[in-house]
Amino acid sequence: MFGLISIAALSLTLVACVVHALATAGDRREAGGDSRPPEASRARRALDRCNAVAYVVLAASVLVLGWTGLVGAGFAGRALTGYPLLVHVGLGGVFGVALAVVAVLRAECCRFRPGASSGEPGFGTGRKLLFWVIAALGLAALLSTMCMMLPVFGTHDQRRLLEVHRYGGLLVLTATLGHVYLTFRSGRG
Amino acid sequence: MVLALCSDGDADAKDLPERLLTHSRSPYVHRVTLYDETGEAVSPEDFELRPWSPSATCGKCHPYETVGGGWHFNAGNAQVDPGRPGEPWILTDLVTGTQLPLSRRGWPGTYKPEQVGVTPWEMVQRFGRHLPGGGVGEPGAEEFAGPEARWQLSGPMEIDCLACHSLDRRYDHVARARQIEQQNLKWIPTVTSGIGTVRGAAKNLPADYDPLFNPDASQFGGPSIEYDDALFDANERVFFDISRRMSPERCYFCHTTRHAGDRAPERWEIDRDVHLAAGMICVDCHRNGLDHAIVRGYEGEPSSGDTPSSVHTLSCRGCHYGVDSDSGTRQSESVRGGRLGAPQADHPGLPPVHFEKLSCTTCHGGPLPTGRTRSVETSMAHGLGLASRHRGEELPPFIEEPVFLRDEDGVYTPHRILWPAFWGRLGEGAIQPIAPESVRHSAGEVLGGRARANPGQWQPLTEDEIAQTLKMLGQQGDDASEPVYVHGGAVYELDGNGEQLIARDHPQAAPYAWPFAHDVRPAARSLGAGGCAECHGDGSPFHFARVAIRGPAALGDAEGRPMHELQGKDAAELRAWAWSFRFRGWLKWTGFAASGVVGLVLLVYLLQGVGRVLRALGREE
Repeated sequence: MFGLISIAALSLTLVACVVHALATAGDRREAGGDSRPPEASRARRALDRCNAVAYVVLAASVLVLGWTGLVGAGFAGRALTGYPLLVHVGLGGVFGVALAVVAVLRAECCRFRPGASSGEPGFGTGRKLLFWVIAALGLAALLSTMCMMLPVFGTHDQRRLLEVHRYGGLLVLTATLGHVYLTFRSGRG
Repeated sequence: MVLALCSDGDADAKDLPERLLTHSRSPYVHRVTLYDETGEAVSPEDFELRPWSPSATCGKCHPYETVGGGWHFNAGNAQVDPGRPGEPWILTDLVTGTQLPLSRRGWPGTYKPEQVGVTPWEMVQRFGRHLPGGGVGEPGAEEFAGPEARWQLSGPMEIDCLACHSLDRRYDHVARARQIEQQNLKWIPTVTSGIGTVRGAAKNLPADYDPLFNPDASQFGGPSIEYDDALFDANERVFFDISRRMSPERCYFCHTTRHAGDRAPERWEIDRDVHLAAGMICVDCHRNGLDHAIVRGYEGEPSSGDTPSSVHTLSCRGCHYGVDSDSGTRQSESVRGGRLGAPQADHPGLPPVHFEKLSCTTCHGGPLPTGRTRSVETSMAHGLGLASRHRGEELPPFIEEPVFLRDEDGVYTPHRILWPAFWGRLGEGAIQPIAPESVRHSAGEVLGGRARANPGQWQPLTEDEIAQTLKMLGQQGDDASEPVYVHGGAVYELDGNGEQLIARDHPQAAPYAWPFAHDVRPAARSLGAGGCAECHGDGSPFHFARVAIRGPAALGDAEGRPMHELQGKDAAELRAWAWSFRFRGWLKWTGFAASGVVGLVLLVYLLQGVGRVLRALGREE
């Protein structure tokens, strides 16, 4: 069941991105290179670089986590084991750190402000929304799997936590794909 | 149980209206008349005393044919689903260095007795000591003959119902072995039940002895009976103290296991199965109806009846958690467990994947794994229960446990394994075993000294003896096949010069493995109770214990093979996993810290957002 839902969710994400790309092709041409940020201080540039690196690490880890989780187990409807699990667990830590860094550095940029619905250049409503989805569901996926490592939750609760992890992770993956797509579309991180 | 069913409202009994039934849960008092094999009543006052027959006596109320189709008796019935592999009979010959798993059920890796010339007669002679009768003890006409068979003199070895059902502590299993040695097969129930004493032996009777002409077999040294008059009441009936809920000690005569060798614990050091300690008995789980199709108790067990859920809820998982009603698999839990108050364990902290990859017995059954597998003796393989002067010595067959292997569903289960050792002829890729007697005959004096030695002087076969024997077998075989000796996971043959032994792999040299479940250990003594590293640590016994390769010859790898080789697991992957567990603590701290930061950011901005909404609402008002 989870395998089918995963395939459907990823397909929908792909279709949404394609539809969006086609629908906004004209707008992007008009936007041209006007979305470049203004000159910033040295500290600001360092922070931006850090932000960009954390974002890339986060996106890459989500993609690999999604790949190992879905190809290694989810699509086949079996448990994750072996090297895919090893990679999954190892990158889970990287994902957690990257998510925390991105959350701290980007939260302010992704705040919804009244009267500024289009947001700053490059941070449209879609990306803001997806950012908060990634942060919230990433936390769910992360915390659920961390809780499973504690000698607290029994089998029944562990299974529920696993479901939270699976579906939370799947939504993080689709949201990240959408976010990465929008980021590439906007031409800046 | 056969007899006790007479008193019970068993579903099968409704098909038998002509039989006497009580349909009460109160046991029927079995004060019964004994009948001989022809159906005539037996009296201690008879001029000619005949042995009583369970088929004629117990069969009065409990249909013998139905009972005879049960698991303990139906190994030769090709219609019966053999289920998962079980403990085989092991053809053991110290002289020729043979330990060959035999089974009439056709479990993969075993050999049919007839493949090595073992007739039903020889099966009874070799293994009847731990057979409850029936089955191979009552061969059909086509199996009746054999060069040494003397069925017409010994009579059949009928199902001895009392072997399992007797509550009388005087019931004597060992007497069965003695009577088999004497070829007094149809006299066995008389002796084991203690109702009569038998003197003489059918083996003394001449092959052409005919009881019609000479009813008194004792003239020839044949068997004669003396019934214990005190056991017969005034109506010449005897009281059978029997039950369908027999003591585990009854089962243990055939199903005992013990560790052997220097590392074997003392008897007082061993705990009983946790279920027995809780007051249960074997048949609380291993149940059966009149058909005696005893529930073996593993997941996915085939069910011959129309109530599979009753069978499936008698596995560990089924009883404690419930299972899918139709398949008995672990996928669904639509049938409730909790039979007999079985508790549902929480297993806090154990990721659910373990329930998909491991059987319950992996963590809870058998001995805890150590750095090396242990040598184990069983009743069936080593004749435990029978007195011997050689009990302290480790003699073939060599069985090792626990070996954690995956079953056909890919689920890890503790197994016992036997590395087959036998002589054979290799032709067209397959090895045809040679009967040990033929090897002895062919090898002549090469193994002659061994044939004259007693078991206490046993020594493993040497390379030279094996090479010499292969030469002798080569001289007598055909050109199409080559003599080989299978031992310790390899096939040995002579090199081109016919002098040196060379070893190679062959599927038939693979160990025969069968799962086991008992004794069950409680949670505190289960595998993993001490932490993840018990299985996932570097060098953990679960994957890295050395599986001893032991056989009746001084050949092969004395160090044994690491468990992961038999599991088909990659050692590098296991080591990588073990290595990653060093950082598990860091991972937890990092994960929780990151979760805390993300949670804090979400909380702050959520509160800010809520505050802004509230302020906006306030302004509107």
